[in-house]
Amino acid sequence: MKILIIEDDENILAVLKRGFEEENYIIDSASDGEDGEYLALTNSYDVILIDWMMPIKNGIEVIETLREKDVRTPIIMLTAKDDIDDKVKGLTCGADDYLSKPFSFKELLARVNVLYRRTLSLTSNILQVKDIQIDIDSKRISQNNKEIIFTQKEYELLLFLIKNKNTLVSIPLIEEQLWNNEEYINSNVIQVTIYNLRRKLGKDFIKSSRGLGYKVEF
Amino acid sequence: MIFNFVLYYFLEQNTKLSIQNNLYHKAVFINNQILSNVPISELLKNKELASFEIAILKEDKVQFKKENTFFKSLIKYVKEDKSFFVFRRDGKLDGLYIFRINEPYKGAILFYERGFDDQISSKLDEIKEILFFLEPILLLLLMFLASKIADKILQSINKITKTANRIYVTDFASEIPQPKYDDEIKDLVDSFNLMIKRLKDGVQILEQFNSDVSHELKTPLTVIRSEIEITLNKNREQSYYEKSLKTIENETNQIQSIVDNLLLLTKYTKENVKQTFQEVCLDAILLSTIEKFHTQLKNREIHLNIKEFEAICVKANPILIQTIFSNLIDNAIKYSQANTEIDIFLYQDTHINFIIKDQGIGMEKEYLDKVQNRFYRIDESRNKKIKGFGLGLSIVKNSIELHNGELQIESENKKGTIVKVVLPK
Repeated sequence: MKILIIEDDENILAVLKRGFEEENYIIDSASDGEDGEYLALTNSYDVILIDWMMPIKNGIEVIETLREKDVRTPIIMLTAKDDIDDKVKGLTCGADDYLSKPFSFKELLARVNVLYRRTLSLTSNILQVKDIQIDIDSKRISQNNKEIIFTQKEYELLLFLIKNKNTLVSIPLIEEQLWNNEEYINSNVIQVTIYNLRRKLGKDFIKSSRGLGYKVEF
Repeated sequence: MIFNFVLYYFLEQNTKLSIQNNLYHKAVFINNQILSNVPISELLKNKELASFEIAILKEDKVQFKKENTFFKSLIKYVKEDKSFFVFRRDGKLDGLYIFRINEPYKGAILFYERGFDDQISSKLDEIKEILFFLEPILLLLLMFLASKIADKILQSINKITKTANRIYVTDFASEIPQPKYDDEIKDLVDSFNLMIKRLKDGVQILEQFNSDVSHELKTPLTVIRSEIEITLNKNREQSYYEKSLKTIENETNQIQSIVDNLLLLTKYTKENVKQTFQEVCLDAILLSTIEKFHTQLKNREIHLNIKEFEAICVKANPILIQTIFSNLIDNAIKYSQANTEIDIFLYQDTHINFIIKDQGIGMEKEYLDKVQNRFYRIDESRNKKIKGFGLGLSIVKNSIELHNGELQIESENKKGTIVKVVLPK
């Protein structure tokens, strides 16, 4: 899962980044509203975390621009403001959730997962695709009640393809989704990951159009 | 009561006049009789004169007197200019009237009347009777009018009371409507509305301050809380724990520093700061403060010159003075680039002057006032490229004001800033 964190306090940013990366999330970050907005408009994220009070462009303004430009990514607002009025203002401007500082990291993690589940249109944490079940919270995949072991990248890639079901997903798009902005791939690691997924789930699970991309149909 | 006294006074004056008048006519009558050679004994049979003691003088000698109880001592009054005298005797008022004559001989006719105030009291009794019936009616009328006027005034005051009761720290929406007439009540309403406005402004400043404090404290708290949770989530290498604790220590120091500074801002008032004043030597404090910045100056490759330096000792609070110097030097270093200079002046003329001049990033004129506000930072970023949370200058300003001094800032964007502290001697 790929998360964008827009936060101007470098200490908060550093600790959040470390925490999420440890949980195998892919993190992009920006330290002011303008940079954050640019990243959100040019990349696709599963969840965006955004601070309210920031230089150049504040959180509310960024959210409003994103919603205007039809970016529907779930957004959680992180802020020191904890008035009811502030919360209402944050939520009505287009944020999906609101967390007052100082928040618990565990709670933030749980809320991120809830919003992510919502993008998959799931009401429970179990996702059923064909003959496999995916437990979103524990990141476990089983086929016919038999657990299959996946690497983190394999899991992320599978989930990304399922999320974009019946659509051809290009290799650059996969690269953008599974690696953060600072990493570059100069290898066929994506192809290898696809190969491994097919080996574990069966050849027909992922269809490929050579040179164009991959898709899951169901 | 006052009305009654005034009435009595006028009555007394009025009666005196009428008595004088009466006596004058009697004297003229006697004089005419004398001129027509009517014998005095015949003359005194007149009933109108029966109640008086009468004497007739000829060339200062008593020619005639009737019932001469008091005349012996009264003759001396003839030589005075006045013609009517009032005496108080046995609790009653007596009157003496002297009518000086030239024909048929040079002399005077004296009338002495006992207890002429009896006439006044009889008149008063008459008036009392009238008043006895009139006063209650007057009183009722007055009460009615007074209550009408009071109602009118109270109506406006009730409006003020109602508005005042509605005013709450969270709600200043109401303003008292202006009365129609331009009177004292309107002045009161004006003052009240102005007061509401001032309160509103004050609360707004407080709210802003609250939100700033909470923001500044919550940011490090967020880091600490997340750091602890993430660290405890798994078993870690020792170096990880050390790094984690270091982060927490840094954030804790920041909280400590915010709290210390806030206390410094609110601890002293103009009243209580005087008790902390003692003889301090500004030059010594300045030098020891500069010494604390040596490492920082060296690391940032900034050169500090003491351009003017005088020994100045005054009564002041040493902690606040040290804070002023330290914060201003810290600011100058923070906003200076490498290979620039900071100049410092300390001298006295009519006042004590401390000037610090840097060649740093400076600022636009529009920010000059705002930088002295608590928690104000121009970049608003709290980007932490330049450490601090915007309390420094407001503490400096506050400390200077506690010493009845003045803070002046001149600055040019990208050229540098001159900060001048002027303290009374």
